[in-house]
Order: sequence, then structure tokens, then C-alpha cells
Amino acid sequence: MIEGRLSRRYTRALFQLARESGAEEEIGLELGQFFSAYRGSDLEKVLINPAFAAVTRKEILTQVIRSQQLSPLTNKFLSLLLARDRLMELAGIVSCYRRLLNEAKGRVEARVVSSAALDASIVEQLRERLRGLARKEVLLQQETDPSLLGGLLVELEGKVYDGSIRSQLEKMKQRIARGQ
Amino acid sequence: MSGLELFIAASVWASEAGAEHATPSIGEVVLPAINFIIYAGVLYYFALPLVRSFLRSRREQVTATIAQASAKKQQAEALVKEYRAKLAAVDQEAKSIMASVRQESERERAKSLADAQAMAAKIRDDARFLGEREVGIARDKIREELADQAETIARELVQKNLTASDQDRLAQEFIQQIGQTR
Repeated sequence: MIEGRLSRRYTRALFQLARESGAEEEIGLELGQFFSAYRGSDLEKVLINPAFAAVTRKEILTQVIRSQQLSPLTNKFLSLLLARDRLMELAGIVSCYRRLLNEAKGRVEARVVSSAALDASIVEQLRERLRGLARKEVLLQQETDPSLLGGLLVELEGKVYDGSIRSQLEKMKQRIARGQ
Repeated sequence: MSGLELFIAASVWASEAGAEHATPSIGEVVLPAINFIIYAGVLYYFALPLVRSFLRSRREQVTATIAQASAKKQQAEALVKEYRAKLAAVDQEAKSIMASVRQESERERAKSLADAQAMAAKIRDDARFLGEREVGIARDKIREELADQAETIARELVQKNLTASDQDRLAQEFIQQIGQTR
């Protein structure tokens, strides 16, 4: 996710307030939780649509926040974004917040994709390996993609390590096509 | 013929005629003679100069005509000579032109031949290039098809034969490689 200057500014302010109250993890979880429900939903279409009255949109947001039982800080922050028509920046804000939180906690996010669910021991081996590489705690997000056929695809700190059979077959195909 | 000779001749004729017939009187001889002399004198003093003048004039005219004819003849001969010279020069010029035309023709022929050879070489090169290009395209296409087939076959083999333990082994090998290749 590309983080704009505006989203970074909002995120730093939120993160600072969250740290002051010692609730940076909680706020991060709440933001992620809200964003998961908000992204691509009818809620998003309504909240960013100026055809709806500001009061109406505020009421809808308040109801959603209440139903999700979000903290007052998250509540105020989301209300502020709505009031200033900055909800379009929410994806960048969530990403930026997660990055700031990980930096503050000395950890890094990684993503592993496999053709089928990985055995827990394999996941642990991978986490250890990545921790050794990044020299930070690794938050490993697992995904499955059958088109990989086998092997793994790992993404760590913006780098992609592709050890999937799909990519090896693709390389083999290119070598044959080049006559090598 | 002088007047004296005429007189003697007349006397002889008169004596011969008198010998046969009667002797003529002086009047019969002298008067015709005088008459004749006068006549001759008139002729001599009046007609002769005219005749002489006429003949002189005629001679001069003929001479002039001859001279003119001679001059014209010389001019004609000079003209003939000139034209012969020109004719000879024309022959030479014609030969020169012919030689020049022949040389030009040879040059043109050589140039045409060279152009034709160059064009033939270019056509050959173009044909070779196009042929090689076509071969290259066909080769690439065949390779691509082979690559597609190979990938498809390999994919099917992997999907058919890859087991969970293979997947674990691949994952473990890759995890080790991540550390080594970083």
C-alpha cells in the first residue's frame, strides 16, 4: 500500500496519542478490524459519498463504531476523518500505523504463500529464518495459492523470495524458448 | 590586200578580157577602180575601226569571260578542295563520334552490368535476410511451442506426483536457501 504524506501525518498523530495512552496495539487492532469491515463494502460507498448528508454519514459511522465497540480514541479519529473527508486515506493510514507499530515494537511483517497450508513446524522454521535475516521479531502472515504448485513465496521488508514450482517452471519455459 | 594589188589584178583581168574581145576604155577601168578605192577607203576609215573595236571588245570580253571562267574554275576547285578536306574531316569526326559513342556504350553497358550485379547481390542479401528471419521466427515459434508443451507436461507431472512430504522438503530447502542467498 502506498502511504501518502497526508495519511502519514494523520497516522503519526494517532500513533502518538495511542502510545501516550499505552494503547498502540489495541488501536492498531481496532483500525485493522474496522478497515476489514469497511474496505469495499456498502459502508465505504456511503461514507465517502457526498450525496449523503454529513449528519447522516456521522450517524451511520457512530452506529458502526458502537457495534464494533471501538475505543474512544479510534472513535474520535474515524469521526475526524469523516468530518474532513479523509476516509479515502484509511488504507494508507492502516498500513502506516502497522509499520509504525512494528518499528516501535522492533518487529517486522512477512508474508508467506504456499500451494497448501503449511505444517506448523515448517512455519516455525521459516519464522526463525526470517527473524535471523531481519534481526527483528517477524509477524508472519500465511496465505495459500494453489497456482504455486509447490514450494514457497516469501515477502519480507519489500523483498520477494520466490521458491515456488510455478516460478521454476516459468524459468524453465523461458530457457527453452531462448534455446538455452 | 592593198589598193595597188587590187589595181594590178583589175588590169590583168581587163587585159585578159580585151584579148578575147575589145580593149576597155580608161573610164571603164579607172572609174570602177576609183569607186572601189573610195569604197575601200570608206570601209577602211569608217567600218574597219568599228570592226576592230568590235573585235577588240569581243576579244576583251572573251578574255574577261575566260578569266572569269578560270577564276570560277579556281574557286570551284578551291571549293572542291575545301569540301574534300571537310569531307575528310567529317569522316574523321564521324569516326571520332562513333568511337565516342562506342566508348559511351561500353561505359553504359559496364555501368548497367555493375548496377544489375549490385541489385542482384542486394536481392540475394534481402532474400537471405528474409529467409533467415523467417527461419528465426519459425524457430522461435517452435521453441515457444516446445516450451509451452514442456511446461504443461511438467506442470501435470508435478500436480500428479507432488506429495505432502515433497512439499515439506521443498519448503525446507527453500527456507535454507533464503538465508544463503540473501
